Amino acid sequence: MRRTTAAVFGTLSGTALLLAAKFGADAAAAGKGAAGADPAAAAGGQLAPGAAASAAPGTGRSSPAPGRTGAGRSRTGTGAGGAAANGLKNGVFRGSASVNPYGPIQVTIKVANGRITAVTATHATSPARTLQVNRRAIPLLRQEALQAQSARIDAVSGATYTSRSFAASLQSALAAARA
Amino acid sequence: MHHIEHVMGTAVVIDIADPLPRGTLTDLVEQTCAWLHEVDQRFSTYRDDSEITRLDTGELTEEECSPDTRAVLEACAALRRRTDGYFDERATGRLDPSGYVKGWSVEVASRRLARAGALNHCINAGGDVRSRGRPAPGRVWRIGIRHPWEADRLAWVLAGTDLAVATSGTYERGHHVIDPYSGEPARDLCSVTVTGPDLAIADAYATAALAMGRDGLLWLARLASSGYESAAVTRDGHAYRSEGLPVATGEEPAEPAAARP
Repeated sequence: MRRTTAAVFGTLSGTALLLAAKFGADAAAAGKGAAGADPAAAAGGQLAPGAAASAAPGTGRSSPAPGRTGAGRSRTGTGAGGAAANGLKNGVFRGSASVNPYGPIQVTIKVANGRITAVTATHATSPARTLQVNRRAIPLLRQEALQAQSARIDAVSGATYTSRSFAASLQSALAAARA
Repeated sequence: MHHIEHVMGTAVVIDIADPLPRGTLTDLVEQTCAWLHEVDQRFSTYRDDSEITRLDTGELTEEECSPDTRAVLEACAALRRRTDGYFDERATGRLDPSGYVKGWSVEVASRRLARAGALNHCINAGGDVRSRGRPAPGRVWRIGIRHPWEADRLAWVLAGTDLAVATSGTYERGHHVIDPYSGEPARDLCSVTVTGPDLAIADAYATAALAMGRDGLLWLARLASSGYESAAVTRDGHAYRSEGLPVATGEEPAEPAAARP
């Protein structure tokens, strides 16, 4: 049974990532974009089954996924009954909470007749904070061209260089010029 | 006065711009170096006799450690929570708070210099930079952010009086940031710079964002509301920065501008 659950989450990883992406990056758009989605989806951190159905694996792949939903870390699962047509048991399966930058997220799926009929994602803890994050417009960094410039400067910030590499670094040239 | 000290496994550049008597400046530099060596002795993971090593091997308990060490460990724990576990002083499997200690030691050194009357200075500890005041009347400090692949070029130039600028990167040989969740080195971002009120926190945030990979870009954007601005370069060469990053506007005039009355 553990293995079955793992397999389910393996195939679901695309969907789970997409859900996380929507919750994280643009909750309002996710609410509108998913056909038939419950308006509560954006506000409450719950995806209605209708929305889940439209977020099928495959569409999930092409979407960038800022969420961190380690499918491999979903270990727990509780399911009941049902014969499996394609290896999926009937029942409701809950993944373990995984962490994304907005807090832990937990995905629950419902399987009937060997097919996934619902996927629900909830933020497992700190709902107040999640609500706040999802409602507010998510700030983004501005993308710009990577420059390679030279300029008069007083110091250089960079990944820690060792004493040995210091001799060859820009900072040493600068130090020599200012000494 | 300009001084370079080799300590904490790197080179620390101390620049004091105040027109103080030479003897005073020498004393201030010596006190600053003594402090940095004290920190190295206590926190180095390369010394068998450092408190951190002895704590890690179980030779010392946390209660037996110095107040500074306990304060650093507490700060690390708070940062671990604030970064959803991505800043992790045990990410490598050993106790290694250096991602916080370097910035913290420079922050403390800078505060002590200011208290001693040197209100205009800049300390650069192997790429973690803390400045106060001005390098000369009418000028502001200009801090370059290293281009990740071209070691002698700059990706951004920041300008201001009181700046704390920390950069984490994957481009220096032998420098790894481990994603504490996968245990693998983080590779999506090759350079993350954070600037804000406290260098130790900026340093930890930069390390955490690097460990997050691409998720780090969203996380960094949210930091701005707490006063920490950022810049990042992805492995595929895309550059990102927050709106409020204090980038220099225009080239500094060759001759220092005269101080205004």
